[in-house]
Amino acid sequence: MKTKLLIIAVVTTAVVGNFISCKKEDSASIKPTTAYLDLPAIAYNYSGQFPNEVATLGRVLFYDAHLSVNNAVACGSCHKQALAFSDNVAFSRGFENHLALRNTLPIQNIPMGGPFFGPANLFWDGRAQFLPAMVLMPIANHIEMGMSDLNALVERLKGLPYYDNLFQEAYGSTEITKDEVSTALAAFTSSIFSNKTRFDRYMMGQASLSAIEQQGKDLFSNKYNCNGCHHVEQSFFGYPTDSSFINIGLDVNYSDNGVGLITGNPADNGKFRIPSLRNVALTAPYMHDGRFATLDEVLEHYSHGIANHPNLDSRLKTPENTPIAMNISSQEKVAIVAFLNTFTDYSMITDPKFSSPFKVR
Amino acid sequence: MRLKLFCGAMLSAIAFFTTAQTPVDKPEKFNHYGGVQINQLLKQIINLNNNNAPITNPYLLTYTISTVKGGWNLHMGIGYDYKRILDKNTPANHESKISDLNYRVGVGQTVMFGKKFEAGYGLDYTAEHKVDKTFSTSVTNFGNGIDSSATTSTSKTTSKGFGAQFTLSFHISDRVLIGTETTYYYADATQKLNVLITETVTNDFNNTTIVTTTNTNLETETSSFTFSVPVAIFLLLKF
Repeated sequence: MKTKLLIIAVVTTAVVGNFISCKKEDSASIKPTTAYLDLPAIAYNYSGQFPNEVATLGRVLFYDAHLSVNNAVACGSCHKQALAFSDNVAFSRGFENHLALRNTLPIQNIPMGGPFFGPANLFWDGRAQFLPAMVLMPIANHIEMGMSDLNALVERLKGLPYYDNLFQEAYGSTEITKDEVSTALAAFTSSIFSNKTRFDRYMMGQASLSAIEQQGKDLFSNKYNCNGCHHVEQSFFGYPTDSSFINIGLDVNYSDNGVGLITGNPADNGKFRIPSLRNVALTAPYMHDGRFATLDEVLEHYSHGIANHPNLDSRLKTPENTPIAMNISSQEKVAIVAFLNTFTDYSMITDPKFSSPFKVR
Repeated sequence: MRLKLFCGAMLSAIAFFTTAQTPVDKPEKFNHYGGVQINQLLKQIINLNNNNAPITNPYLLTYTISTVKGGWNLHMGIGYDYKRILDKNTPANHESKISDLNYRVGVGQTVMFGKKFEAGYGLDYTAEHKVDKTFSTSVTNFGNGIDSSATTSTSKTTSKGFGAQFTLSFHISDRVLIGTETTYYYADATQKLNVLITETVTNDFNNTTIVTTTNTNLETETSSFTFSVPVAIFLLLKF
């Protein structure tokens, strides 16, 4: 008898608790904050291929939550300036609090792509080749911003009075079109540029590295040949362009096959973008699924954790065709991380022209 | 309504089977097990492949009634999760309240091998009801006036499915079992999203106020096969 009562009590409590909680949901406790648009009288100089007024419009759009279906999420909600426009969680939350499928990539030094510039290979799997087309994808994505009908987006922007002036200044007309929105967002995101790290200044002979940073550089470039993939020295902007999608042996069986999902070719399974290491100290957690919380964990993967996947990159294999174990010592890890910290561009992450124009007094 | 029917059926089943217990002086026909499955906790302790994919059923309260002879069983489980998320991200502050109820019911059989181990298999019906209410509000002073918007979005996701379940348990004692399970479920989900936006624009220049209300309904359907690797752990107490 006691048993019966116990079981019934547990089940009833769970069900009743659910209904009570559902009833409580109908009231919001959140209070509005009055923001104002803080834009300079003369547009900032974005040094890009678009007029500054177009990039300024893109900046407002980038930080405006009205671009999501329920006015809750902006591009800048997941791409945070202080984190080199990445996010500090494995998977960012979209408009309905569903988790994104991959870790948020930083935005910096992004190629425009297109017929004149060649494929841009954007996203973790390189599925987008042209930045103005790519910027609309998260807006329309059913997890991220949910605005599946981009014509509805245009109609919504028409109802927001502050865009009249911005579109007038950017395009000479208050008329709003989908193409103008995507161009403005591409103008802003492509203008987010980093070239003022200490390592940049070192490469130009304007700064020096400490002893431990220099040791880290030697380990990175020579002993462990990290530079063989990450090209921090060959490519000034730290953004690889060739062979930039590889399998680094994260798993024997990948739950997300990366490039393989796009091409349908089993030889591409488990291949993901080699990310830029620029601002890498700010972009944790790491990998396409944010599995590594720290750079130490990343180095430990290369030290002892590479899995023997059939598509494992040849640079991570021994002559016997097995995964390499770099056996990076604790002291060497400290040195490599010290070197990676020289890739941080403090001017980019504090530059007001890249910050949210919606300010609170 | 379906939820109420399910709960009613579950309670009736419990009442039926527990009423079927025989007096103490006769041999027991049924064994009763109550337990808890702590999927998320175990995943945090033992992460087999470093995969960060979220677990949607963080825990499950379970009840199993099984025949002493043959090991045939009726099992059921229910889990509930409630989250409140507050995001003050200027200009849009938003607050979400999410409730997630999942339950399953199924039949199966367990077989002892050795004195301590027990293997089981079964077929489950599984369902999930998730409600996400998000309130978003923004007020923007654009110089010549103020734009303010208040948005309420309600997303209701109902998922139903079925699939196979396999378990492996270890008898710590006569009355306490610890075990793990793997499942392979097919599920159909229907998501209904309603977004109600009230936009108010006050223009100081011509002293006008315009209020616009838009109500949008979206519905999406998805199907999926989900294989859960054996990272769930459960603790069972035999009554």
